[in-house]
Amino acid sequence: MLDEMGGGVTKKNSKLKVFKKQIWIQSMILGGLIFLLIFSYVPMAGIIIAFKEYKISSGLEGMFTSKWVGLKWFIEFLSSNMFFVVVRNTLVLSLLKLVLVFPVPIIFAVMLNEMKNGKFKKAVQTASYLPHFLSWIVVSGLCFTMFSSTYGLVNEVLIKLGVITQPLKILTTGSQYWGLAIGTELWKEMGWSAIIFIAAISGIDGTLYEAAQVDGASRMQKIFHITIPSMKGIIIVMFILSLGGLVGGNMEQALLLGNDLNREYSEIINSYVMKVGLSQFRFDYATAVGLMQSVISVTLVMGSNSLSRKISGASLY
Amino acid sequence: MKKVFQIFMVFVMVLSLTACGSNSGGSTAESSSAADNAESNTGDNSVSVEDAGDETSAANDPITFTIFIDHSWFWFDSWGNDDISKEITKRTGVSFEIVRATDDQQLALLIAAGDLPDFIYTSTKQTMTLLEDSNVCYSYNELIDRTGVDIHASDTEIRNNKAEDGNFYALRNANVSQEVVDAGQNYDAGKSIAYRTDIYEAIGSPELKTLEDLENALVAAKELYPEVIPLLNNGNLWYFAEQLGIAGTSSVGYNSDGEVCYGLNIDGIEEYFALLNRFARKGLIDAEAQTYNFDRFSEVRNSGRSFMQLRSCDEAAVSNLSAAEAGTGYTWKLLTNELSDNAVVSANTGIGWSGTYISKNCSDPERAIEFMSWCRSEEGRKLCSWGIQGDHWDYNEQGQTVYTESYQAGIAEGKRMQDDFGIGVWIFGDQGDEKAFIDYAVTDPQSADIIAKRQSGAQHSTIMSELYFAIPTSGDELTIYNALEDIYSSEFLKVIFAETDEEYEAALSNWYKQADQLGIDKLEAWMRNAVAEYWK
Amino acid sequence: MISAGKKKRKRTTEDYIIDSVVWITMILVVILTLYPFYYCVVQAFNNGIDSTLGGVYFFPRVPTLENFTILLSDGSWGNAIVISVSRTIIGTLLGVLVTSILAYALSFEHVLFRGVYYKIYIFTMYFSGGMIPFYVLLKNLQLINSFWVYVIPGMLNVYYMLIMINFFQTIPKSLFESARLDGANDYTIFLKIALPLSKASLATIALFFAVGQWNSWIDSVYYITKDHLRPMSYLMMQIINKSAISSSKMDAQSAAYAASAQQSTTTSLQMAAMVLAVVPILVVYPFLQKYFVKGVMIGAVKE
Repeated sequence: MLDEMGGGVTKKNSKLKVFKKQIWIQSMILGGLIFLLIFSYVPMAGIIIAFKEYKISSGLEGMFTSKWVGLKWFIEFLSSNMFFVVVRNTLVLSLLKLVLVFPVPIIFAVMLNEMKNGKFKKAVQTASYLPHFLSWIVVSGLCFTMFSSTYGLVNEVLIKLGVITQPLKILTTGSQYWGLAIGTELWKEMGWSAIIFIAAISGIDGTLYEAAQVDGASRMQKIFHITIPSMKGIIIVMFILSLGGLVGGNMEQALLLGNDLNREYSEIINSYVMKVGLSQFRFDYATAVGLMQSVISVTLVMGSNSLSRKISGASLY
Repeated sequence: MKKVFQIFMVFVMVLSLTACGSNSGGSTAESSSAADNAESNTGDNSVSVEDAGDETSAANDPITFTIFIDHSWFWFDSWGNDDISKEITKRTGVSFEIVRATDDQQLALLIAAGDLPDFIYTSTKQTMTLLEDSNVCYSYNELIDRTGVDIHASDTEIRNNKAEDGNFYALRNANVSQEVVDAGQNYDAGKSIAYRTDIYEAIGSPELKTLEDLENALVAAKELYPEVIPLLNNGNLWYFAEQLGIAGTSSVGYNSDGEVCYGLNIDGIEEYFALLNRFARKGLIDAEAQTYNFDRFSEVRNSGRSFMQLRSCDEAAVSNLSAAEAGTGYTWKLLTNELSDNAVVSANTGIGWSGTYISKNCSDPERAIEFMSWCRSEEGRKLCSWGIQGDHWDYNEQGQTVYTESYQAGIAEGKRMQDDFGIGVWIFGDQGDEKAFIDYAVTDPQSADIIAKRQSGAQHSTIMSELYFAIPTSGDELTIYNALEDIYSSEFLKVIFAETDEEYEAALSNWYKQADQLGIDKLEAWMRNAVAEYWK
Repeated sequence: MISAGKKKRKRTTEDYIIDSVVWITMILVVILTLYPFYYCVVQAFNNGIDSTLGGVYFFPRVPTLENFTILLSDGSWGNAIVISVSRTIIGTLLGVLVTSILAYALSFEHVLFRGVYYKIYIFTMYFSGGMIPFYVLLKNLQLINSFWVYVIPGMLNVYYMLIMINFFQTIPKSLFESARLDGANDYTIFLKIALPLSKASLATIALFFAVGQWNSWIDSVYYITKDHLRPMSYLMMQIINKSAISSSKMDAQSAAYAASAQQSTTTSLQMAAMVLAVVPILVVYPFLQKYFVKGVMIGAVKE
């Protein structure tokens, strides 16, 4: 395959030769690049407003003609009164989600695989991704119905059973917000995120299991020596991609489950910028903060990719 | 697989043809359906006596304008589905293609891309500042000069709508003047408390004449009914500041020297915080309720978990309606008197609510300003705020305006004024004073409460237009103001829900410290200057 | 999946333990994920005002279809179905086509400039010029207020492409080798070998695109003003959003008006809108599920 694909030879006009051999593939990729050029790279010029004082009524031309203010917005964000709070919340929530939420769909997919095929298995899988279809607005309404200290079902039941005497104040106590956010995110996305892993497992060669059976392997051994290692590639891909979202976070959740009482724990970078930036039509400020996040995200992705290649040989690219 | 693919491709092609075709058909379809609606209206049995003589525009040709309504809760997102809009089209020929706001950034995108529709109807200060730019919108004075229409505006109104460049780009509706307020004719009777009659009787129907009375009643209710929230508020806690006689809003007011200042430094503000803190410590107000939107507030109220509610002056009527529909048997009464002699009722700027802007993209700006002139004329105002004479309202023998029987029957059935009749919805030209609002001698539960309320507090309200101009619209001061506003709600809740005196003091001083760090002094200096400029 | 031969062997203690753990967990999962959705459906079939009293958990207390009739009597839902279905089918087809071809192309280690290409593609996932330039671009491409704005900009999804690349890389290279030795070119290999072996991943990506298209509503908000181009998800969000706004963010007068306007949009109505907009795609998914159950490799690998 090496020679057929033309790699490994480095003479002068050999690159052109190689290119010609790969022409169909190369033209496909270049086609995609043209698409990206139009829809991603051309609008990217707008990033420039991160360094300017941009008034939206000056229109598109205003992006280029408005006053240059250099790092003014970056400094404003970095020195803002909410900086430490929002950065802390963003990082804590993202890291906790990476540790606590990321592995669960994998475990779920493995468990699902261990079930016999049948109606119940189908029902479980179908039910598991239903929450993904509920918008966060509906989910926040459900949270109130369940956890409200005034009329929530959970409190009603717990008090009736005598487990607690005073209602739990999950929705309004700041320190409980992280648990609430992680719990709801897990519940909402576990089933849906598992789909990729289920698909990956479905591609595992059945004969591997047969061979293991013949060798006298137990079920747990099969899981740890066949199922999980076969998913190594996709797990690493998903993990690296998740790292890219570390400084972003779930804005919808922050805006809807966050409120004035738990703000110290619920406000993340994106929701904060929405409130003081975009809602005030300060696109320049919002773009500046977004730019900082983009740089960090790309660094994380590329960095973890190289690291992963060195350690495990598998990587995103 | 291949066959499926082929079928899909055929489907795609068919769809793409229909999709492309329907694009162009949009606007003509809209205006012809609006015209159809207008024509079918003439067949009504109750004939409209009002003739289209005095103020209607000369050219009554059908025209469809596009409008962006910057209120995501607006009753309608399309024109011509209610009596009033059909009648407006009949009398002026104007119909609208409406885009109702869903998201904050929608309008910003349209402004930046130069894609604004013909009209923009908004009440948000930042948006208005952006639109008040001669590159973005036509100024009314320019269009008035061009066409010579009478815009029916007083000098005060024009001054209150003046932009930085000296022109005015809109005339905010629902505005109020001091004379109207003094005469007890201000429709907006502000925030009010509604109390549930059964619990009220159970605690002995005490007098509710002072703040102390209120507190005692709430405490008594809490003892008798521990699971019920004594005072359920949907925001609106500033009511208590008004009762204490604090003039201003939570953002701007007057300090002890009588100068304009930011909300934190208002004279008497600490008394207000202390009162709420006391209420909170006694369990009279609920922390979680501070986060409720209207849905959750309704759920708590309708399921009987609240004694008193603090919201707007139609709260009793609204609660009673819900209770009747749900069959719960609760009834509410509105507290129509003030709770102190110093009370300031609905301290407002009188500036108004929403302005209707005419963008530079408008297809027919002369026609647009003529339409606005019609909206602001007596005929236009009466139609949009009161309804169609003969159908919805009429004059009785004493010359007072009253609702017709057919309208009242509709209300009794559960129909709503705005949603079902379209009255009070298209109030582009409404001027918020008595002439624009119906003088109902007949009972409509909401109106009776409102009338009683505004008559009681009329002598206390003061219009403070200058406060509107004390809020910055650009520059560093705006950044400071926004940062202060951003932390206001969460700091405020920390203060009032502090459980011990130490916590209270700490929360309060922490808030003041943050305000200092954010630059509150710089902001207030600017504010004083701005107010001085306003009066020049 | 585990092959059929397993059934014949005896069950060990380990089997019982694992099976019980799995069963208990799965039952919990079903309850926790199914009940909230069921609750929403119950609310949709319950009378609006009665719902605000709370306490409706398992069956509608005042059963009614009025929420649905209110919604469906508004003519725009019929048109919205056509829009939603069209954009889902077309968008999914285009997306899967473009994404799978690109993923196939980039999955080979010896493609010239591969590293550079990767960086260029991935860069676009994290850097963006913001909404304004994108809007102006769409305007210049005549995509504003056109149906095609729903399907064209979203055709190339780099995130999905990366996932598909990973799936293509799990196909044994020997299969490609043998095909090349037989003289096939890349195009034939793609159609006759790569695609048929990737049913599971193709189904996955197709599902992601389809659900994404079906639920997408924010593009309708920003790029469309004509009513006849509104998808169902947009109509649903209009109703749900109406009551979601917190009045504390509004000025006093707006808040008062808003509260009166929000009266008529009860929780039940919102739930009915959600049911109408979400249920169709839930009905379709089971048909794609079978692709995850099969996993048998076509053609043996000779070692």
